[in-house]
Amino acid sequence: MSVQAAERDQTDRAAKALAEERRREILSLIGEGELSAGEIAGRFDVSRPAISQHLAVLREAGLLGERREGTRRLYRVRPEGMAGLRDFLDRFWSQRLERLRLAAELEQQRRDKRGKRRHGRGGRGGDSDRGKP
Amino acid sequence: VANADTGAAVEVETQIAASPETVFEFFTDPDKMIQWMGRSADLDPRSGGVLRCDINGRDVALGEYVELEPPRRLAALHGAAGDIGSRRRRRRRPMGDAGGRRLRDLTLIKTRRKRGRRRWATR
Repeated sequence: MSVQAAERDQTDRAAKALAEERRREILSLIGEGELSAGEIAGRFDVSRPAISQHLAVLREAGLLGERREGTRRLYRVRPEGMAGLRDFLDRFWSQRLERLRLAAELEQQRRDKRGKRRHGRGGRGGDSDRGKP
Repeated sequence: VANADTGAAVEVETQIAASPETVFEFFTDPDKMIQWMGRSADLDPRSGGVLRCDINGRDVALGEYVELEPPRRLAALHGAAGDIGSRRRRRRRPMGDAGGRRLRDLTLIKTRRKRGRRRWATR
C-alpha cells in the first residue's frame, strides 16, 4: 500500500470511528485527561463491554493511545490521529472560502457599478464604501 | 472553526477584494450564504438568533449567532442537527460530563482592512 493510500485508509477509519455519537462523546471525555476504561464506562449508561468495543474502534482508528499502569489501561487522545481529517477539513474550508471570495467580489463589482451609475446621474448616496481607499 | 470540547480548530484565511459590509452579508443573508455554503439557509442574524444551513440536502448545520459586530466580527455556535436530537435524549438519561453541549463548534469570522489597499481579509 502506498503512503497516500495508507493515509486515505487512516482517514477513512478515523471518519468511520467518529461517525458514531458515543465514540465522539468518549473522545471528548478523554480529551479532558487520561482515563481508564472503568472510569470511562462509569460516565455512560451502557455496558462495560460496549465501552471496550468503542475504545477498540477508536484505538484502531489511531485516535486513542493507551498505556498500562499496574493492572489498569489508561487511554489518551492522539491528536496526530486526526491529521488526515484535519487536512480534509482544511481543504473543505479553503474551497468554501474560495467560493465566498468569488461571490463577494462579484457582488462588490455590481455595487460599484450601481454606485457609479448613481453618481453619473448626479445622485447622492450609493455604495457605502465608495470613496474609501 | 473550533470545537469547544476538544479545542481542535480549523483556521482559514483569505483576502477578498470587497468591503467588509459586502463580505459580512454573505454570513447573514440566506440568499448570499447559499452562493458559497449549503443549498438553503434560514438565518436570524442577531445574538441568539437561529442559524440553519442545509449543507448538501442531507446534512444540516444548526446553531445560533452569539456575537455580531457588523461588519467586523461574527461568532456562531453550531452542531449537526442530529446532535440536537441526541442531546434531547441525553437530557432524559443523564450521562455525566460526557453529556456535552448541544452546540460545540464555534465559527468566528473577522474582517479587517488591508492597509493601503482596498482589500479585506476574512478570517
